[in-house]
Amino acid sequence: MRAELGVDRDAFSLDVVLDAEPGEVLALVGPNGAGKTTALRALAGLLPLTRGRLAVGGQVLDDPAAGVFVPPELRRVGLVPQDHLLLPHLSAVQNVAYGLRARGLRKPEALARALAGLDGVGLADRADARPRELSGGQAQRVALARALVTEPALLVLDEPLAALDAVTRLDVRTDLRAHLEDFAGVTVLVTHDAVDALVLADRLAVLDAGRVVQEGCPAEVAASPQDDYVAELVGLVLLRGIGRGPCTDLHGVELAVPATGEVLVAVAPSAVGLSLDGPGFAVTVRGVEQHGSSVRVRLDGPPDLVADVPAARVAELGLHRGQRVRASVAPQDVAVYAASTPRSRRSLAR
Amino acid sequence: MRRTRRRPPAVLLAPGVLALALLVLPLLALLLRAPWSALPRLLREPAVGEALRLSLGTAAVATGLCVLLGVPLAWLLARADLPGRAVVRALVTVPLVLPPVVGGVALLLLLGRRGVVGRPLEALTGLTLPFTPAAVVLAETFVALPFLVLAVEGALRGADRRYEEVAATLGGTRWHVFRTVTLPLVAPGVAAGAVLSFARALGEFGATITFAGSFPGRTQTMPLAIYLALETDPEAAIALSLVLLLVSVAVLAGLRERWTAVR
Repeated sequence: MRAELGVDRDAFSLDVVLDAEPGEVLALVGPNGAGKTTALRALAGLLPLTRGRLAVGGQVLDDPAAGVFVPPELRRVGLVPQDHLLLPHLSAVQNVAYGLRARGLRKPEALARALAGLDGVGLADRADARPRELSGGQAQRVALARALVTEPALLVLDEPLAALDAVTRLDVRTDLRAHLEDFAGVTVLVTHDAVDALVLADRLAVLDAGRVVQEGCPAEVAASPQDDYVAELVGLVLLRGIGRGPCTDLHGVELAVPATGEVLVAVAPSAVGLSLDGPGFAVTVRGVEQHGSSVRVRLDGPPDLVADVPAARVAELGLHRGQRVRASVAPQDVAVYAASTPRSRRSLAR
Repeated sequence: MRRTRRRPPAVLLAPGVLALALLVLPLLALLLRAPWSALPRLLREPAVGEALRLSLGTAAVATGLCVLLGVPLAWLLARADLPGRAVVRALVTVPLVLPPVVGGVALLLLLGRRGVVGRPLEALTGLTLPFTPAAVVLAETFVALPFLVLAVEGALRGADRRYEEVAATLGGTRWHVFRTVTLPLVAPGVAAGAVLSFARALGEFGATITFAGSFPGRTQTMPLAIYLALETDPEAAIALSLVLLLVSVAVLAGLRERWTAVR
């Protein structure tokens, strides 16, 4: 798949280039309003391109300059929508058979293949159930079977796990991974969940404000996020610094890590130490909140930081809002790397 | 603190009760004055059966026409990129506010023997519409169609379009998606619109008498028969009225889910 997607809608514009090979799973991640859904709709043919060109498996699906637009029903695109959107008046097996019937397959054969598809997601025994009788996880599996049974060249998943509770999510995610590994076509997965993206995708494209701000395999992106959103997704705080040869300047605080030029510094909140009068630099406590098994302390700098400290430590230091404390970061616990593109700075600790 | 039911203010209570009385008392009077003992005999009279059959028949055909023509129009209004959509919708609602007699006159001027379309139609085919059961159907369709279009358009706007989009990505053409997804999703709206149209068609008076006249057995529907019987045989008029009231109650029961349910 080669997708140069340019879409203008009201005040929003999307301009991204996405490439994916057959068998590859590309995850689109990004905050709300980043353009993920717009990109997905353009891929599925539900939204025509304003400019650019979309080709899947050698077939041009949308090319406004050349006057080409293949409507959704003629594309080999399988869509697994958010909230599954199973047709409420059809049973599970009829839902899966829908695409086959719409493409002209005779009923007995369509139903037989649909049943096989349901069996593939472990739901053959729920074939006659109506969507409202299915659990969220089951409905999502039926929606996946419905998309896969038509053997699409491009599978598009829109937040496939967002509507599920934590336990179901774990199960469906594992299953989904297995199905995606078997799937021969291109998969584009839209998600705002870091774990979904990291577990399911071969490659990530991070979208923000209609642009791709970072692209790479999950490990790369997670290790050196270029964007606050991604940093937050993977649990890091991202700082912007200036490399000054042997050390890095973080808003007036010197870190003993060699670097040159504009750099990004990714800090794990658990690597930030707090003390009343120890080493480090002065910061002000902005907020203290429970975070998993530890306590997350938001700090106003410069540099603004987030520290995860054990609850006992919070009591020991008597941490409270407005308090001045000293923060320290061990040089071996931070990642310093070049910023790919200078970008306007957003507030770090929201 | 004791929970007390607060009395509504008299300024609102009095007119409210009066309004209810205005709606209910006439029907009560109809029931009180009904010639219950003579009813079986009256309803067995051939003229009554004739009018009832004609009414039910024409109203059913008109409702069928409304569904056949109104659902596509509603779809165009709700889904298609229709130029001048607001104007089209306004035109659709005209028969709702137009006095039916005016509708009848207008139909006559279009389809009458000397009408804009009626004259060439007669010259070419020898067909004349006015004063035939077909004219009754046309008059009823004219006044009932807006009810169906508006009900179905509302249902279409309320339906989740993402179902249609998913169906399209599964390979469904627009017509296939309309048949297999859209229509089942808005079926309750179509049913409600059809019931409303039927009720409106059944009660049609003004347009019918103007465009179709009042020939017993051909164009004299129940409302016309009631009106005419009131002069000659008031008991028969009351009996016929009771029948129409019964049908109306049945219609209301059909709509109960939609209109009287507490939301």
